[in-house]
Amino acid sequence: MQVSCNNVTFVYDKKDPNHYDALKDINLEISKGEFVALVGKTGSGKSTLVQTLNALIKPTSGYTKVDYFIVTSDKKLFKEKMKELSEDEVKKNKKLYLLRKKVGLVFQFPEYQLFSVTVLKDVMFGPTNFNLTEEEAKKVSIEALKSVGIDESYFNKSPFELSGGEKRRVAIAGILASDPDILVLDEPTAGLDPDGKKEIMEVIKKVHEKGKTIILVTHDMDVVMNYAKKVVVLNDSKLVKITTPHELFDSDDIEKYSLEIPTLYKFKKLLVKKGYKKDLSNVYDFNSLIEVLGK
Amino acid sequence: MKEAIRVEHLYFSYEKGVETLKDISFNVNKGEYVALIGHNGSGKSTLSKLLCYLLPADKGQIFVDDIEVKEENESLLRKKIGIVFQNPDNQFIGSTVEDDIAFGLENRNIPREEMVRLVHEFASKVGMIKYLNKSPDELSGGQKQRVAIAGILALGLKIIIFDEATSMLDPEGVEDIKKLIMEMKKEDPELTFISITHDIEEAYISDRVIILNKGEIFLDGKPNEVFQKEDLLKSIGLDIPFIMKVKSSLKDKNVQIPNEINNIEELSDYLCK
Repeated sequence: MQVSCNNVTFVYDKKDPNHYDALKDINLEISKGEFVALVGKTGSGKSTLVQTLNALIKPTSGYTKVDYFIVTSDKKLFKEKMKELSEDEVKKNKKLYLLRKKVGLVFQFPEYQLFSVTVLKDVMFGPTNFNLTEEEAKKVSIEALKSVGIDESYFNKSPFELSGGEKRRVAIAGILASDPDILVLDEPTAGLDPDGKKEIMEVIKKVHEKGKTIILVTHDMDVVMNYAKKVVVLNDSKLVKITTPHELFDSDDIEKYSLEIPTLYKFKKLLVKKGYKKDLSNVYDFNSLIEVLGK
Repeated sequence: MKEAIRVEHLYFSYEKGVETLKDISFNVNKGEYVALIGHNGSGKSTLSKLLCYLLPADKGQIFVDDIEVKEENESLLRKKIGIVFQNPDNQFIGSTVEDDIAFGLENRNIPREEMVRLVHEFASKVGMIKYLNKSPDELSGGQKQRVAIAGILALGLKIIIFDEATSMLDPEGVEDIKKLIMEMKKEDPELTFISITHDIEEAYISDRVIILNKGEIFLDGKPNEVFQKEDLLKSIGLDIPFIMKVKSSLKDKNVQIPNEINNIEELSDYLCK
């Protein structure tokens, strides 16, 4: 298993009398090459959970494991887990940047974190910090920019001259340039128009096709419907469901966890409820719906 | 006066030679719920900033509740019109939720007791009453956005603009805020609400849709009329509401759906007859 969360619990500030568990006993496994969407209402713990993947947040108890990296603030548990690893792996566990290189995390509104004078320099920042030479960093950065559809004419522009969608693609390139095995994106489509959304999602799809693991935090159920293969539902800091998009939208869980049901499925449910005569069980997208209705 | 906003021949450029807004003119009546849609870069957000005098126009005039939008009137305008943006991190000013909601009120010389009452009332309306003492770093993006919304709604303004203000909220959150706006509109039928959105389904249920394209008004009218123009919308790469899409695809398959069917409830009733 490439990624696993094992009884992960996280409390933001234990000293605070009003403290609450942001994550409660989360167990989850993700294999290499999966495309997973993490959904749940605001404050359900989605962003907190993904931040344990590269140790920006360390579980208060339990641990997150990425390959042989163990992330926890429970020192006793950490020591125990180290015993299961080879000497080399234990050494690597002390070098946090190796984990950060493995797990690329794209935050909400990543374009607000662009800071360099040029697009290319901004993307080069990551790989340079991961000990590549200037020349190597340049090479991988150019590749990363091309993979997100930013062409050469943009390389020497200031990132601030770009549109919102372009900036976001540059920010994603900044993460891809470090060649992570796992790409984690927190709300990558928030605030983009339909075209911008599609561009970003097609970039992510391409990265997935190269064999990378994709973990996506999103409220956008159209994105879940059209791209994800597996859906993990969080509710009130707990993991409540692991399923597929189609099953989730067809079930009643969707209302229970106050997730947005795509209009298509809403309509499908109405038809079923009102006793529509034709079989709708194979309807999962717009074309399949029209196919049945138009017959 | 029935007009909440009047815009006359408005022009704006960020850089010389590139017109972000070109000859924009429209009126918004008091009490209208307007959806302003268009691509990123179409000028929607720029227009909203001009309306609130966060940016000065290059040419043309804007009147908000009959007050001309210009420097001398800035403090008057702040009492009339307010805006909530999409990224909550850029809008959190206070060190706690309570401070943040109070910030705008403090600038208005509202007596302390009244202020405390308003902060509590709106914190509870947006579902953040439990978090009054929390600092922004303990809140999720959506929670911060709720706080920003409460801060503007508490001011009792006549015109409110949401610039993708609910983009970070979960559906329940979006629904809560929609209900809250509708309640406020019921209490004050003259409350004018402008929603800048990419959500075509939301635009479909508004009173009026204004579509901007490349800095110009492309279409302006009732949702039903505007979204009929499928080919025109497609030509600028905009989507149409689900119900319209279904009707038009079925028409291609020679299944005629009567014109008066305008939402999925009605369509499902019709198909199950």
